[in-house]
Amino acid sequence: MAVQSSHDGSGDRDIDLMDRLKNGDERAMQVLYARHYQRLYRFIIRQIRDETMAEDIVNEVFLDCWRSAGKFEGRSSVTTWLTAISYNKSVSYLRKKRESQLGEGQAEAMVDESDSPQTELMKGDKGEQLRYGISQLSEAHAAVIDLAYYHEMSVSEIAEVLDVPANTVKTRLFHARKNLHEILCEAGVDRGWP
Amino acid sequence: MSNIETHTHEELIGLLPFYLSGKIEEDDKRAVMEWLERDPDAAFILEKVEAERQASIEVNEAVKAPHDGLARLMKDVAATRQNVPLSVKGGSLLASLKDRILSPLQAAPSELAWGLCGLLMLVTIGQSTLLYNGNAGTTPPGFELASGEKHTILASGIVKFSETVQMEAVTELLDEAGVIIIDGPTASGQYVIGFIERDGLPELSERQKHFKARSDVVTLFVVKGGK
Repeated sequence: MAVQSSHDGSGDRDIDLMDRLKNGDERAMQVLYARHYQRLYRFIIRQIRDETMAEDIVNEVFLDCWRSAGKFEGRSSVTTWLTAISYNKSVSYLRKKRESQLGEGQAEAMVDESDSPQTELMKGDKGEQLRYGISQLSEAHAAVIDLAYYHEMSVSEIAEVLDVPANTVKTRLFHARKNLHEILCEAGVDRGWP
Repeated sequence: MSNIETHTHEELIGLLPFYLSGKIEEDDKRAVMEWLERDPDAAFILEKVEAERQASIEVNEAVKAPHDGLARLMKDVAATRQNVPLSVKGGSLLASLKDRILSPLQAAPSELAWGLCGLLMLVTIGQSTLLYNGNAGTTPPGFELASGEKHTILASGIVKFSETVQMEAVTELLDEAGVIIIDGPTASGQYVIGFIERDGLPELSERQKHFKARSDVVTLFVVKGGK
């Protein structure tokens, strides 16, 4: 399995930890953090691609969790809830960053690096080629690819994180895979489609 | 009707990532299995999807999370109990600004707090505009925090904090110089600050001199008011 389960069997379930958080239990916060920190940090940094800001955002996610534990109703899993908060904060940060770049006349800074494929990629093995392609996906495509592949979420869980209908998840995943194919083709690697 | 007939070819391909992770509805799973049995190309596509999945895992696992995150979080958790500014590592000090202005509202929902912060910003921007246009009259402009604490602004300025500075150093300097953050950050990371009137503080000119001298913490671009 790619990601540790939300309940690793070593103690309370996430849902129990949330109940303890509602009562201000800092120990529960530490356990929840230990379970989810790395996964969320990776998700955020794959979105925003800025290590320092990723640290700030993941810290904010857990602080929100601490402050808003009382609002958690258990309708989704804690994993999905935390990932959705992370996604919203990442999107918000990126939107703000883009607005400020446009405001300062730096639109050229937004050129997607995926428009500049590395032809040296052809020399690498298939795994290396795919890793390159995945790292070049847009934030939206990277999110759906990571949530499906690395975070092993279901269609409905991804829909909840991204706040889109289930059919949109399927369509987006299809386009993400197609975009991956195109990135690799532009870099001289044709794996065939689909 | 068999399971496979309820799905298009494209839909079946789209189900493969979820088939591999096991996060798939039972009907969909049966359809994928039936397709894999019937179509020789299906196994080839599954192999490609598995390679993509492996690459995604490797890309993610190559990201190493910093190890000091928990200590920082617990410090901030403790701060939420004591209403003190939070730590900020990134270029934005907005989180601390929010806490400065809204410390009495820590228990409020985050959305409400940010909404109030935004409202307060609009008010302060208006005040700052007056100040910078020199239309504030002879009475020093006032500034009121959400806590109800009122300040008289003797002079204002535009600053930028060093990107590497610790939050503690910023807080210390602001306290020493009798400065509050009025607005910011702008897109380029600048803040509007105000030198406030407060008993026990040195003369304004001394405070401005002290503030300017701390170039390790802050760069002062513009000062309006005072000497």
